[in-house]
Amino acid sequence: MRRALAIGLALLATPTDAAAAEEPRFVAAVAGGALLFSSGWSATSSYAEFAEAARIDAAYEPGPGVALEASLAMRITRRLRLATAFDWTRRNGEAAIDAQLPHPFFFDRPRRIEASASGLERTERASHLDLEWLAVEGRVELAVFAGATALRAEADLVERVDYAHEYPYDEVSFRSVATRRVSSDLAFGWNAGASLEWRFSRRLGLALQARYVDARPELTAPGGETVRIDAGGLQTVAALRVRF
Amino acid sequence: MPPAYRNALLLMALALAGLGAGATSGDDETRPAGARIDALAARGELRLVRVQEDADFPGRRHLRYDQVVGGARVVGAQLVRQIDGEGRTLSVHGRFLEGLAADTTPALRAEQAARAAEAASPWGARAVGEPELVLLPLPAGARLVFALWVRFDQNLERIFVDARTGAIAWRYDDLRTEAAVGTGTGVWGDRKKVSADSGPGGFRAEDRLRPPALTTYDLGQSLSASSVTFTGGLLDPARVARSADNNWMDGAIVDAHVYAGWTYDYYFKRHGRRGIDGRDLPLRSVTHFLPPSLGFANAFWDPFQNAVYYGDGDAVYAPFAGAIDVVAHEITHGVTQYTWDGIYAGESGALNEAFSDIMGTAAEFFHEPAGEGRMRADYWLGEDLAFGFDPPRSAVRSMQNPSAFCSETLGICDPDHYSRLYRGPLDGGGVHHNGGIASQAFFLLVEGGLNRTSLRRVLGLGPQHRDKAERIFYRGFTSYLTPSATFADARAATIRAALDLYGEAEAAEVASAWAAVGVQ
Repeated sequence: MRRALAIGLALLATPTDAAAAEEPRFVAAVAGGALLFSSGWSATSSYAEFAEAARIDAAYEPGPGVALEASLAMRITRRLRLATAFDWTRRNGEAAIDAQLPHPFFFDRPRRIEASASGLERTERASHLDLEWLAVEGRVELAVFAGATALRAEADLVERVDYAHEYPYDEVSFRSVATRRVSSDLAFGWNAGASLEWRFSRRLGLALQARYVDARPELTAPGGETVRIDAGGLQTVAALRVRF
Repeated sequence: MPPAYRNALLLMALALAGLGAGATSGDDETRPAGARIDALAARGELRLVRVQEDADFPGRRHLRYDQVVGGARVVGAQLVRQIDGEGRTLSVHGRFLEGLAADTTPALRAEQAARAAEAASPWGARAVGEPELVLLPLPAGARLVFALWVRFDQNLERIFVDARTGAIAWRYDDLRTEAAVGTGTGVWGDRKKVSADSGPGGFRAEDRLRPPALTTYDLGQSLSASSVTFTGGLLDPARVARSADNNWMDGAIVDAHVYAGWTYDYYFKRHGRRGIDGRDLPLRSVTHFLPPSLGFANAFWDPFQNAVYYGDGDAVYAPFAGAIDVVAHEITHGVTQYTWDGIYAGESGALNEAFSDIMGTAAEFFHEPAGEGRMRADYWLGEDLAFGFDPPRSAVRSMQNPSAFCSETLGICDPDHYSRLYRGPLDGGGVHHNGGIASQAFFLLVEGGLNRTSLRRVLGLGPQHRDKAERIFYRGFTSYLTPSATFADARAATIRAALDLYGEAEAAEVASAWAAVGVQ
């Protein structure tokens, strides 16, 4: 057991300098981490009720989430790499709701409800094509990258407010909200970031990476209004990198 | 629920049972069922379509998933999963059809399916909404169909058109009976909401949202129908006013129906009263009474049918339902009937009329903004009814200045003071004219001012305290008056009510108002 551990450590500790002349051309990585922040956004849903339009203004505040990423990079010069990455993020957020619900007997006398909804999920799938600039010092590699992003978002939007009311219907009491999951079309944006890698061996390394993604996909709220959201945000991940 | 719809559900249930392994699970199976849903969702065989917060158990949610095959929803195959705040599955109910596979490439386009559905329906049928490509599980197997609605006459059908052949795979009546709020255009062209009842035959003027049944009838200006209904005392259910699309265009029907509801609202909100008898007795409105050739320019309360009858007016006046003060006036006769029941003659008759004018005007101020012009609240009675809005010529009475209205028949102007009380035999002892004395007292109590006969000035409660004056008169009349009440009794009753409700200051103002009109 002790011997096997020693062999393993020896393998990890193989000096990279010794093999610098034959640096592997490809780097594959898998990463997982946290989505530190992303922007809130607002959307208005509407539906017909009592011969008038009910209106729900919802301000969505996404919470922190998780990010997973897989990437493949190809060295094209000593200091440049071309990289493609696929990431998936998910976060649960809240929404502050201001609903105006038509009165059954009168036009222009909406009943108002202020409420909140939680557990609203938003996921994003993004593909990035980046150019990476590298600086290597011993076992440490710094990469700064930027490039184009294609992103698709899926989000729970507040569709309808369920409420209780009784004659004379001038007031309503909140019961719950119903949400609908909607998907965006593909949106294009950009991303930029940096990573710092500690190379254990010629082939293995562990990196910390921060990536900021900016894209504005369009979601169609229940009722037909379209809204552009600030997707992406700042994600930090720890990545295991393999060179070949 | 219409029988056709029940049959449709039954057929669907049979089809689902026939096709496969329904996956309904109870609590003992929830964990594996929850994991299975996740697996099916990951494979794209389930699509989350709705998340509903649990109103009874905070934190719980109900997730609904449609079964999907090749991108097409399977009709009726849905699972609902209850989860707790931590996301644990608590229950799964519904149906999932195992082993369902189908080619979901249609041979028809959606527009072709819509045309096929219209062609298979009665003349004039129109497809509404966007056809949806779905899989329809039938006992003989699942069929790829376009699902759409088709509307014709007063029907709404759900039709499933085979997406390969264009044949009708299935159809059912999808018109459900329920309370429905539509829109209407009143006598003066204003838009209102109409609380109606929907059913297979369209929409009926029956208010299902207010506690009592408020029903509006349409006699169609028919002499025979008017005779049978009024003289014969028969309100034929077939005469309930109807609309094909819940967009009501007959102003008399719209205003009679809507203003009856608004009057109920006024009494409920201002006085806590539930309808004419205080116990939500059904109220009927009867419109288009008598043919236009008879020129019936009036409205009246029928105490036997608990109904208000509205004439369609004449060359001068529009249909009599077109003014809320008139509608509330007539309904207030019903309130009087079930409370103090003032004898419709002499002073009690005048008080009966005055109380209807007062409450009619109060309802007008409750629902319309104060001001000059049509559909503005003021102290004229029936001022909205004439085609040419020009009170006092276009009104029938005034609370502010009763004497502005003079009767050639009686040879008097409406008195604004007890010293001018008409004591002759006409008009039941002047019930419509002498009411001006009490109406003037109410006006002075609200607005203050000078009585033109006594020249006594009243401070009044002020229009901002209109509600106080209304409550005082309502309580005084309905709680303390008796059938043979006199003006002096009305004075005492309203002073008593003011003391009950508010205090000495308000009671003094009430006394001052009555003193100004010569009632001590």
